[in-house]
Amino acid sequence: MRRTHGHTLLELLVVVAILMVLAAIAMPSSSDTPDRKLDTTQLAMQDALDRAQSLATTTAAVFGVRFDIDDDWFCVIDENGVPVDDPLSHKPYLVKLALPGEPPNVYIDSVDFNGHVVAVFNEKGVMQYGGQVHLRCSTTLRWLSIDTASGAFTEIPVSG
Amino acid sequence: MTSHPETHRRAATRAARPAEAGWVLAAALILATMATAVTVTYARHALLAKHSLQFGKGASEVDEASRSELERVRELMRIGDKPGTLATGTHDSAVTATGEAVVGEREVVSHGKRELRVQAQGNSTNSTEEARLKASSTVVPGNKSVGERTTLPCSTGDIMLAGHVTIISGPASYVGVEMAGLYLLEADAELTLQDVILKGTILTRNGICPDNLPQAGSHRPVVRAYGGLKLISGTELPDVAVCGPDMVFEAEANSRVDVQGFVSADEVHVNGRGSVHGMVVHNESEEFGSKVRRPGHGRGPQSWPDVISAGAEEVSSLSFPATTVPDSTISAMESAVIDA
Repeated sequence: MRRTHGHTLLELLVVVAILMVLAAIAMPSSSDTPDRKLDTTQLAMQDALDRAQSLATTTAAVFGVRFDIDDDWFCVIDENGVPVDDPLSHKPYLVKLALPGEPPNVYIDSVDFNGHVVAVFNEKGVMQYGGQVHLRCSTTLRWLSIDTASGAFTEIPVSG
Repeated sequence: MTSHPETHRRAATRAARPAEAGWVLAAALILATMATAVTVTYARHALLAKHSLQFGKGASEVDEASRSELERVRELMRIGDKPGTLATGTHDSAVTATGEAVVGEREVVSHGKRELRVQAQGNSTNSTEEARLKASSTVVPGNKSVGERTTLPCSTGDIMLAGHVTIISGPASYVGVEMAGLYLLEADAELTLQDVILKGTILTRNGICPDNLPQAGSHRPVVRAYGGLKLISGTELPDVAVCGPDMVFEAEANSRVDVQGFVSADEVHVNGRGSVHGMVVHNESEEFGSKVRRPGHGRGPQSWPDVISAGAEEVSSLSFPATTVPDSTISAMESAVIDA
């Protein structure tokens, strides 16, 4: 007997539902773009700076955020250079940009706070020197500048 | 010869297929359209959410600044400000993180009326917002010359205190009154406020000018609050309620304190109920009771400012001494061994 061509409504509904599920799964994967990774890193760095400033303000002591270019991490430290604890994890406030044994997603290309690699807050929570941090993810560059007045990162145009 | 019933049923099914195919096509088109609409809407929302948030934030900042400026314009008009002078122009502006320009524009409509417009112009065509604020007041020409006002010497330029100034150099107590103006506390001053509404700013000499050394220990000026205290920053120093880096501010456990404006003091102790709207900066210690609300405090601690630019009529800025972290300390911080 000859098979009739065409599809039933039920078959089409199933196909459309499967396509929608696949689309929903595929959409979040677009969040792994270099820009999104740099956004996440920038937010984490801003959180670290806010934490250092908060500690300096509330304890009237010197705190800072130290950046490591070689191993791509940054850390909130006290005036002796000792990492402070993260208030949530109760572990040292140290953010590594790479998982163990894997290359980092985002690289810290350079850091300059008046010749230092530490953003320092005095005992009144004022940033001692402004500076710049240059990040890289794949071929995408992001240069961030921070001034003593705002204490917040702002993106500056990449030149050269 | 009669046909088999099964043959009849198959024939009927074949005949129905073309009609069903039309419905299937229509349903498929509708479903595809719906899926596309949902996907596009979701994507658009995700893309614009951050943009709109930043845009609204910038607009809010300028709106707030303009409202404060409105108070100052009223004060200027009260003392005889002429139309077309300081009251005209675009004094409040901001650029949001996403690049929108937000401008507060002030316009002299008539001799006794000023109009404020806050316009937020987005960098895309669909994100323009505009808020209008209107102010009208009767102009009463001032009869007090500038030379009669209190002037405090300072190396960065003498500071002329606008408005009503009360200088307190010893114990002073106010009960059940409404006060306005600037209150300058000298060394050893003890200002007691009970059931008071104070619209203005409490200052110390060190807060006004860093050349004046801060008072220490028992010589620090003290403000004590009992009962109810409503402290609202005035027009002389907009958004500044207390500016005394060498001052002690205390409110007892049964008090209800509402503060609107920036507060700086050596020590702040507010143990009762109430609310503190604004940034609090302390030098030594800070204590707020569990029943004291601090709206907006969750935005995070603020840094100690070097200078407050008041933007008021006469008081141009208040300065704070800055401390420097020695380079040797910074070098020690960056050379410490960290096990990463």
